[in-house]
Amino acid sequence: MTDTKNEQAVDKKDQDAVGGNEQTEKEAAKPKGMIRPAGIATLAILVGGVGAGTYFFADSLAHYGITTALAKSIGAEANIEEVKVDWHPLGLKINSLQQTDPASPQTNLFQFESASLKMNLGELLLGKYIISDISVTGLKFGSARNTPGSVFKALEDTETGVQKQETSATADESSGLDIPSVDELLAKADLLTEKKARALEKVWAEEKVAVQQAIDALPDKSRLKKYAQDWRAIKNIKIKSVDDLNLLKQKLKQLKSDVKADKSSLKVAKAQVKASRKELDVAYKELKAAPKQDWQNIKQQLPIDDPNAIAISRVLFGEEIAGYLETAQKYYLKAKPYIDAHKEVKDNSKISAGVEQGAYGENIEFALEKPYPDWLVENLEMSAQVSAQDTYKVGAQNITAQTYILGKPATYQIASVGTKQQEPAFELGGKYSIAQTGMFSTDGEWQLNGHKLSPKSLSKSKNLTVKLEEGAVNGIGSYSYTDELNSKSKLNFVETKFDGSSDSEIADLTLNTLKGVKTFDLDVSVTGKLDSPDTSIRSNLDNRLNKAFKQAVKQRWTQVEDDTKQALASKLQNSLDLNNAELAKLQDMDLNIDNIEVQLKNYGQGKLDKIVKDKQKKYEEEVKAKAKAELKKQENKLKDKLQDKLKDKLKDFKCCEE
Amino acid sequence: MFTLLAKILSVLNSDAEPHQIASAVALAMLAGLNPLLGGIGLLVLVLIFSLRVNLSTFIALFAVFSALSILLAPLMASIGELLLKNENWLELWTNLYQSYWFRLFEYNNTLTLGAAVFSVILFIPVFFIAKWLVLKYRAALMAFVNKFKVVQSLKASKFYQVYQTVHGA
Repeated sequence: MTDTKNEQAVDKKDQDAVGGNEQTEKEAAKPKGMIRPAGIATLAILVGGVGAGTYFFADSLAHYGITTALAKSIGAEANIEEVKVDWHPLGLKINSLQQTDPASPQTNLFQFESASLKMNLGELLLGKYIISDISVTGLKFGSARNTPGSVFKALEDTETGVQKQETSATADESSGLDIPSVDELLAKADLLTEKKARALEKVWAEEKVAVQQAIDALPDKSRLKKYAQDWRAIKNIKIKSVDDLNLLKQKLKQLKSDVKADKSSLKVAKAQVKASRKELDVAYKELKAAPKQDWQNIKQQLPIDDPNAIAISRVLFGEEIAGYLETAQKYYLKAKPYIDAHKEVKDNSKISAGVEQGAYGENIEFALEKPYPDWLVENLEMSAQVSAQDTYKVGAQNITAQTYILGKPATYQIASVGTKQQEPAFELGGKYSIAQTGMFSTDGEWQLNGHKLSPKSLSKSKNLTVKLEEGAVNGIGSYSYTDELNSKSKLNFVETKFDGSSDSEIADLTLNTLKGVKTFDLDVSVTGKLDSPDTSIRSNLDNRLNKAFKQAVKQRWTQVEDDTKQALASKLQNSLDLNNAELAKLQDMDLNIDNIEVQLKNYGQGKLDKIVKDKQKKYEEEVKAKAKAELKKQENKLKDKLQDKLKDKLKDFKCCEE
Repeated sequence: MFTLLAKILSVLNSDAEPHQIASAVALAMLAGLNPLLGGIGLLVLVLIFSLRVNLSTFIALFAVFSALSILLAPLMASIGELLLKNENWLELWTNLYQSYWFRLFEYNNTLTLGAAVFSVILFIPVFFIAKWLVLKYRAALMAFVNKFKVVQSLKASKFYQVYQTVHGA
């Protein structure tokens, strides 16, 4: 109550303070309401203006936004004839879009006649692009442009791998379809015979040096001559006294010492020769066995015993399959920068999310009944014209880069649209998943039903050109990719007609056999990394052709086998001849050592000791004889003396007798 | 800062209704503490256009409350966290989270929800306190403040005249 009175008093005072005129009095008499009509009108005009502007300029804004976004992300000019925005439900319709290929401005990366899509407005406001339906008609890839498009940035040259494949394909072409000559076989083979011959030479070179060093340490001729002289001198020594005997012993001791040192060297030399001989024997034996091993190796690499090794299917279809793989790789390499860019964006968003968490406030996530990924195409329908004759209908569901959010894989279907055919000539169905870690995996199956083949050149090898004039193909296949590709295809060609030209024995045979083939199978498997897959191509054509080959070229192979074996034997003989001369030197060295050994044997310990013993014995006998003779002499002398004395004494007794 | 104070004084001394000034203060508090492009921020903008509130007071105090929101952020974030992480209300938040407007205005953010709840609870008290203060001021201090030269010069300014014309419309 007091407040009301005060309010009135203040109002009155205010009016007085401002000067209070008549208008003020009128306003005071008519109190203003709470609502501000002018404000509401202003708000309505503002909101209406923005709304109307958006409504009327939405088409132009969308046109500008799409062309700018495409040009910016792909790096080349994008042209759109018309863009229409639908408001309920929110959608977009694009007529005639052409996106220039940045790698080739004269062609379009892709183009389509019309595309329409419907979007989820609520999710769009939350920054998510959820497209409930999208349909594209008249999609074409790589078609020519009327005028070259502007290129803003060139994509990285990712065709190195493709070029490499082309190079290898060219290399394959240079290898013809013919029985190789002996020279070709020996040139291609990494011959063990040559290796072992070189090994023997090396062993000999090393051992020769070692043996020579050991021989050099042995006594030479002059030394042996000196030994002989010393030996003769010792033998000629006459023992007349003990001094002579001591001199003899001294000289013998010296000779024994010299001979002992040389005998030691001789022992070393003999051991070295033995070891060297052993080494050489091993290398020699290996060399002799090498040609046999070489022949086994050549046989393994060549279709001599196993005619199935001639994989004619690879020669005929390898290039065609490599072409498909090349195309797949080309699209993969084109898509790779965008996949990588998506990963980068994901990483950046993780970083920024981390930064946001540092400030006040935290986003608490609750379980959504229907969670959506950042972008999603719930249903896609597209018709794509791949060539003048082939149009394909493409369908896909739940296409996104975050299938893990949906908890189910994305699915896709491709089917050819035949003009007159009852059933689609080609059908493919598959699914893919992308894990939270970014790991991509896909698998699917496909089938071909009586797909008519257009005339196609199959082989351009050196000696053989084959053209498939007509035919049809049925087939089934499956593929899966998780880190590595694993694809298996089984094709059945019917009503085939081959033609071509040939320029060698086998090529003639191949072509003639092919001309008689009306049906054949082809099994293709592709495994390994996407950028370097391993391809295996098998066909019953191989067996058929090989049977014919086996019969026809058996004689030729026998001839080649004999010639090759002979050439290897010749190589062996050359090596052996070369090494035999060297080995003869080792034999000479050995004989030389034996000779020295024989000579040194003359100065052996036993012989030398025997000389001393003999001479000593002889000397002793001489001394003994001399002493005996002297004794005898003395005895006789004494005897004579005694006789004389006795005669003198007995002289007296003679007179008495008378 | 000085100009801001002078403007507030000028408004207090003007013929503006106390409830207009009080609602401007309360709305400024709502707009200042909440994100301007959030649910409450946009609602306040509509109300500012539609209701006869004192714009000068609103603009001046919006700046003050925006600065204050930085100081109050930890408190408001903890209120939001208490509410959003309350197990008993999990079902409520989960149901609200299904709606686009809840996620669009980021009410699953602890600071945003805390600021909204905090400011809405304070709205009525702030309105009445502001109104009471205006009345008290006009009764006790206005005559004294009107003598300030700065107030007189502000009232004599062309801007004030224009404001008066628009405000009176």
